[in-house]
Amino acid sequence: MVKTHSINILSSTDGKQQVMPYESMKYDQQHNQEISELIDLLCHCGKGDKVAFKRLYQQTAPRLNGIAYRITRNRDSANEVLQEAFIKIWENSSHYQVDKSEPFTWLAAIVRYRAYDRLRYDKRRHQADMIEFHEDDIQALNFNSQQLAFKEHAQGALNDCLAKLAQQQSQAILMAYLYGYSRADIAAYLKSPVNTIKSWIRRGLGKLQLCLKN
Amino acid sequence: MPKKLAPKQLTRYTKPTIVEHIASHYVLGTLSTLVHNRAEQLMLVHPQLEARINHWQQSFIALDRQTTELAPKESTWQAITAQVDNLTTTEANNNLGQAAVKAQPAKQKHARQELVALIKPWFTLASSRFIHAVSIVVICLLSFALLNSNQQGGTEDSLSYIAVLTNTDNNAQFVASTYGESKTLVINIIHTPDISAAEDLELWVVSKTDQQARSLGIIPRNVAILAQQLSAAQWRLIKDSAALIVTIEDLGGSPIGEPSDIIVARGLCIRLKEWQKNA
Repeated sequence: MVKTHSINILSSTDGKQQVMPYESMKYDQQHNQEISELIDLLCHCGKGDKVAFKRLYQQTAPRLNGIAYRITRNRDSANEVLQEAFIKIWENSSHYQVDKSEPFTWLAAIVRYRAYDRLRYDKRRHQADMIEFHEDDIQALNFNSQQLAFKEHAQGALNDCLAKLAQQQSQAILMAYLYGYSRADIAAYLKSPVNTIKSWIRRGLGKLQLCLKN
Repeated sequence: MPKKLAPKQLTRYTKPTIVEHIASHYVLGTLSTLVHNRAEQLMLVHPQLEARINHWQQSFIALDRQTTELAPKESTWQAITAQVDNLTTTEANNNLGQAAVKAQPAKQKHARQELVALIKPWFTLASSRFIHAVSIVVICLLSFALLNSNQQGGTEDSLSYIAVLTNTDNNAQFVASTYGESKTLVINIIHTPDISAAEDLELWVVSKTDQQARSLGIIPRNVAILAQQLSAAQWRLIKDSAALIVTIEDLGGSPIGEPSDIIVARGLCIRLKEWQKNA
């Protein structure tokens, strides 16, 4: 059975009709609703509201824990990262600025940097078993960067741009961001000098920036 | 000696390319912890850097949204609430303390200010004397340790590497020596290059293998001799070192984890055992 996508037709000022896939519009609505809910909860947390803090935790902890686990590759470490991150969120929620960052971006950044720190602390980056464990992930990652470009929502922009980069560039960038690999680790994994990795990342980020701007 | 540079020439992180470099690598997680922390400090005073970091975070967030969820342990929330309750209690106590201080009569506060003004010059003088006294003690102790090790045939904590760092006129500015057993780095500061209050001197080790410079930290002001315990990673850097350099950086050290172009002293690292063998 062929699944058909319904589309919504939007009229523009010049009279031409623009089409927006229904799934994409639905995603935008959900996204905006989530943004306003999280902003509201963060505002209340900033005023010391523990009920709001609990709701914020319930709403975001599984996703944030997933991010911590993706980097640390250890459930205990991920939970400890999550714990430290939520303490920081509680302490800093009054400093959150709506105009500077989306709430989930702000929350995820706190978790991610904690997880990178934890990874460095554990010195687990240099363990061979971890490199092997990531082998499948990285293969999947190359596949995903091709596939994800076709997803019908706002996230496509990044995936689309990543898919346009040279494979080595996108791989180095994703290894660093997703799994917390250092440049030296990437160099060891890809059997290339550190300077080459730096150059791939620099050029890749430059192209990415241009692509996202366009 | 390099020319004295205006502070604005050193604020490299105001240049768009540098800002972009710091911001993108900050978000990518490829900055060292030290540089990452410096970037966090810089964000507070450079809105442009903060804006670029936010931009990169927002650009990459799609990857985090695609990450599979993982339910946290129940104990995690319990630990968080316990810590938050503890924080709230401490904060409440601190607020009470502050309120008590505010409630002090103005007269008492004024008297205290007068007392501080009276003892401050003496305290400053005492601090400076204290620093000198400590420096002399450290020099004596180190000299004694070195003499003692020589007398014992160099079997204990012998001098392993030495570098005499000179300026462009070939005048010695720093002597860096390392001791193998204790993995200690000792820096004798012969002449401190002129730097402004907005700058710091940073010591770097240049690798023999990849020619990359890696930081060994900031050289503090107002000390004649500095003894620093090296970590295992830093010791590996010393063993692989071709040269040591000292650069002028923004206050707190290089914001990007790489040395600036303003090298005030440079010296080749000599491994003493090899040198003795060849001599």
